[in-house]
Amino acid sequence: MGSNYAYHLEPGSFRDRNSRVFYGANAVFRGLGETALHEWEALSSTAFFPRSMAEGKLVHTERIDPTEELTSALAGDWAAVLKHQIIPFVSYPYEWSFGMLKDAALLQLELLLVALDEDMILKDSSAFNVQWKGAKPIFIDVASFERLTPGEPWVGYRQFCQMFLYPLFLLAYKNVSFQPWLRGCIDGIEAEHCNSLMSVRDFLRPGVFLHVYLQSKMQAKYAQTQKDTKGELRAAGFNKDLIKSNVRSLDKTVRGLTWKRASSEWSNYANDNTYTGIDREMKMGFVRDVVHSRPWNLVWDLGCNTGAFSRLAAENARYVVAMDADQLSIERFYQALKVEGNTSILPLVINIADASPNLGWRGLERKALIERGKPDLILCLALIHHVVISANIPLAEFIDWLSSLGASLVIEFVTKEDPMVQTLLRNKEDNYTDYEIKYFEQSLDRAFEVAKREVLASGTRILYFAHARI
Amino acid sequence: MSHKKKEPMFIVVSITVFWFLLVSTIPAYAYLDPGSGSMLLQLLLGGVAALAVILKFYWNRFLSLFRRDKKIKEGTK
Repeated sequence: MGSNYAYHLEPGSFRDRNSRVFYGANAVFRGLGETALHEWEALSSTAFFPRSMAEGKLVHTERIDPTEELTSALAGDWAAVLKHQIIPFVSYPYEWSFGMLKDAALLQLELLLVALDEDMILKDSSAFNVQWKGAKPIFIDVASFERLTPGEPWVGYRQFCQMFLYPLFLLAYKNVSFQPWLRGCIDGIEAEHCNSLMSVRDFLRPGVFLHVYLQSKMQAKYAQTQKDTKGELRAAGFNKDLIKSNVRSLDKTVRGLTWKRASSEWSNYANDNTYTGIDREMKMGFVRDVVHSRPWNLVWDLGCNTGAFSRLAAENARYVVAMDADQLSIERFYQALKVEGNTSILPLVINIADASPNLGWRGLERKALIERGKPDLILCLALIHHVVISANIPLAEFIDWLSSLGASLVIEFVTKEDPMVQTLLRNKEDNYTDYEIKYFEQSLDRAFEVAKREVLASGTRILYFAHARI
Repeated sequence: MSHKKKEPMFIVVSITVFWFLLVSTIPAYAYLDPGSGSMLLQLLLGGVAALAVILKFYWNRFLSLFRRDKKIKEGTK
């Protein structure tokens, strides 16, 4: 019996002609064509498939009877339909920290190795195929697994380099952030471009000579080859042992990569505390009261820093998305959450003044931040001075944007007398007439119903708990 | 470190590939790269297991030179 839910296609899942993702009410489905169905049958009979699902490394997936769960029109479009576990909040590689991209890369390689053991392979290596449950990476694209054609090379190798290896090299070897590049180029970094960035010294670093220099040269040389490369490799006896050897070596290379800045500045962060102890205690108490006033579904912690308030929110929320523009804070927070095995807080590198937009084909392939699930509680602590004074966003516009999310809000106003604001204004002309407590309260009142107000001990910081009027 | 142990083989294979790159034709930059270069590179990345495959690959290419010559000669007749 078909249900009456409205279904809609995931516009970003068009690349694979034989499989398509679509959404129903609280469910994610994947329609399979004939070819994809054969690959699914092979995958579901392997030993690694249920094992990886049980370990939480692969998205939980089951084949359903489409006539029971879908409208008959939709059910008839596919040879088979799969139902996936829901990912709490979708994120993209250009929002991950170094350690997150590294762990996503290692998961991809691990699954590839276990698949090869059972004569299957991952046909692509898109970083978008990895999502997160808190600090735990999950591989979501089960349609990427296919039976290994004997003698064929690993077709996804080039993509692995572009979307994982080169971005990691960029930060590990050049201390250049990969996020802006991955956001600007949906297919990752080309070998040729990565090669142009490397110095002679870099060519001696693990992986650079082979995966960057040689690959860039060989891609250029064979770009217009008329030869049947796959056929030639097959005739020469290419086999999966060669792929496994490459994958193991890549695994070792990736494992060895570190972001030096993260390891050296680690300890300073723990002591980096800009406000007084008593202010902090009052703030914790205020946020704790709000968090425990009712259960929350999705909390956004904007400008989360090292995540103390995200942790507090997670005590009574289904899921917390913790965002900060500073990738060092996010990296540190991620590493701590990873050690704890946290599955309810997702840390993301996001500058709220320039949050991820719609990207890709028709601007629908990758969604803007606000289209991936609106919060019902927003924490906006010690952030507004950065938005208004550092990013020059008019205060009223920022409040408008917050209210457009339709959520409850905890916001902290930091007055101009506060040392942090003084620091921001030190070398700037103070044109910020809108950055003033009265005007802030008027703007807040217009869009929100203020339920609670508390001045912290320092007197320069005021907390508000408010509900959007829309 | 273990990657140092692989160095002699690495150097030999690299030189072979370099020779192949330098002696062959001028690089051609295409509008669409099918990734043939990345696929061929996997011969080098295949470790010890790849040595026999590399030899056979070049041997097949060597033999194909004669096959092509033969075809051209036949074609000109």
